[in-house]
Amino acid sequence: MTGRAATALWWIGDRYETVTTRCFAARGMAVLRIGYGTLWVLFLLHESGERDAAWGPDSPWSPALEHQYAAQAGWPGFLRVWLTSVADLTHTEFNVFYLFALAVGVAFALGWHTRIVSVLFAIIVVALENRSPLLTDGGDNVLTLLSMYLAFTACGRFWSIDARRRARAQARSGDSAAEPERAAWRVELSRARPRMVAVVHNGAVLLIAAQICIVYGTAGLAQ
Amino acid sequence: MSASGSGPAAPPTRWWSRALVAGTTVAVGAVVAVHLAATFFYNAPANPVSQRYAKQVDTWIEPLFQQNWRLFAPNPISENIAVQARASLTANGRLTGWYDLSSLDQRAEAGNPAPGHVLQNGLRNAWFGWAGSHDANGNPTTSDAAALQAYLLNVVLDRLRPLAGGTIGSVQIRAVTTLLPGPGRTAAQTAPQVRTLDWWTVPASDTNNTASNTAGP
Repeated sequence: MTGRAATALWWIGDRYETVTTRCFAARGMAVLRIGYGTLWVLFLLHESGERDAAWGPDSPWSPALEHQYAAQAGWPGFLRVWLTSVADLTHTEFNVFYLFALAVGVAFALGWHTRIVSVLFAIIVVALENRSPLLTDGGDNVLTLLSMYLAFTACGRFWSIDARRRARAQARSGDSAAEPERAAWRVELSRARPRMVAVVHNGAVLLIAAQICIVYGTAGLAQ
Repeated sequence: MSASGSGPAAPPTRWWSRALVAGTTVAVGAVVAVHLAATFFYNAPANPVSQRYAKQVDTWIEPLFQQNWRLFAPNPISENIAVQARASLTANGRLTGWYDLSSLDQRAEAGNPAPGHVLQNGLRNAWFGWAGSHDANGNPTTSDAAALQAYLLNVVLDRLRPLAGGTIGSVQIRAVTTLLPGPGRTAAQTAPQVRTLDWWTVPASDTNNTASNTAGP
C-alpha cells in the first residue's frame, strides 16, 4: 500500500508543480482580452448617442430608484458603493466617466499595463452595467462575468503592448545580464511571485471554462 | 527575474516563500471550488441540494455573479407581448388614445440595423420586471416591487410624453399577449389576451420636469 500512497503523493506534487509554474491557455486569455476589450469599445461607441437615456442622470432607472433598489437588496457596503457609483455622477462627470470607460477598453484590448488595466476594466464594466440593471441582456451578463474573471488571469502575456515591451527589454539585457544587487528576501519574493500569479491565473481559467459550459448547458436544458 | 514565464524560473527556496505559494494554491482551490459549486446550483434545475442551500448560494452569487441563461428560450418564441399605454392630461383631464409602445419601438428599430439597448431591452425588461414582482391583481410580491413599478412608469412616460401633447397627470398601462398560432393551438387560445392595470398617478417630482421632455418630435 505504501507504493500506492507514494504514487499518489508524487502525482499531487507533480500537479502542484504544474499549476504553480505553467499558465494554461495564456494565448486563449489574450484572445478573450482583445475580443471583449474591442466589444466593449464598440458597444460604448454604439450606445453613445443614447448613453444618457440608458445610464445618465436622466435614465428612467433614476439615481433615486437605484439607491432604493440597492437599499432593499441589503448588499454589503463596498458592493453598494461600487454598484451605485455611476448613479451619483452629474452630467459632466458622467460624460468624463464614459470617455474614461472607452479609454480603459482600448488600453485593455491593446494590453497596455494589462495587470492594473484589467482590474480597472472589471470595475468599470460592472459599475456601468449595474447602473441600469433592467436594460441588460445575456450579452451584457457574459461580458460582466468575463471581465471579472479576466482580471485574475495573466491575459497580457501574449499579443499585447506589455509583451512587446518585455521582449524588447529582454533583447537589450541579453548582452549585459548584470542584475542589480537586491536584498535576499526580495530575490526570494520575486521567485514566489510568478508561481502565485500562475496558480491564480489557472483558477480563473478554470472558472471561465466552467462558466461557458454552464451558459450553454442551462440554455440547452431550458430549450 | 524573467517575467515572460516561458523558461523554468528558479524555484523559491525559503520556507516562507514556499508557504506563500502553497497558501495561495490552497486559497485559490477553495474559492474556485465554492464558486463552481455555487454557480452550478444557482443555474441547475430545482433539486434538493439547491433548495436546501438556496440562501447561501444566493448570497455568494448575487449581485456580482447574477446570471439567467434560461432567458434565451423559449417564451419569446411562442408569444408576443405588446405594452400599450394611455395618459390623462392634467390641464383638462383629457384622455389620450391607447398608444402601442411596443410597436412604436419596433418601428423605430426597423430602419436601424443595430438598435441600442434602450429600444431593444428597455420596454420589454421593464414589463417583465413589473410582471415578475406583482401578482395577478397588481399587488407587490417582492421587496423590489416598488422600484420596478416606478421604473415601468418612467419607461412608459419617456415614450408617452412626446406623443401626449400636454403634461401627463396619470397613466394607464395594458399588456396584450398573443400566443402565436401553431399546431394544437385553437383560435380561442391564440386570441389576444388583454391585461389592463390600474391608473397610476405620476409623482409630482416627475411632472415638474416634463417641460424638458415634451419638446420631442
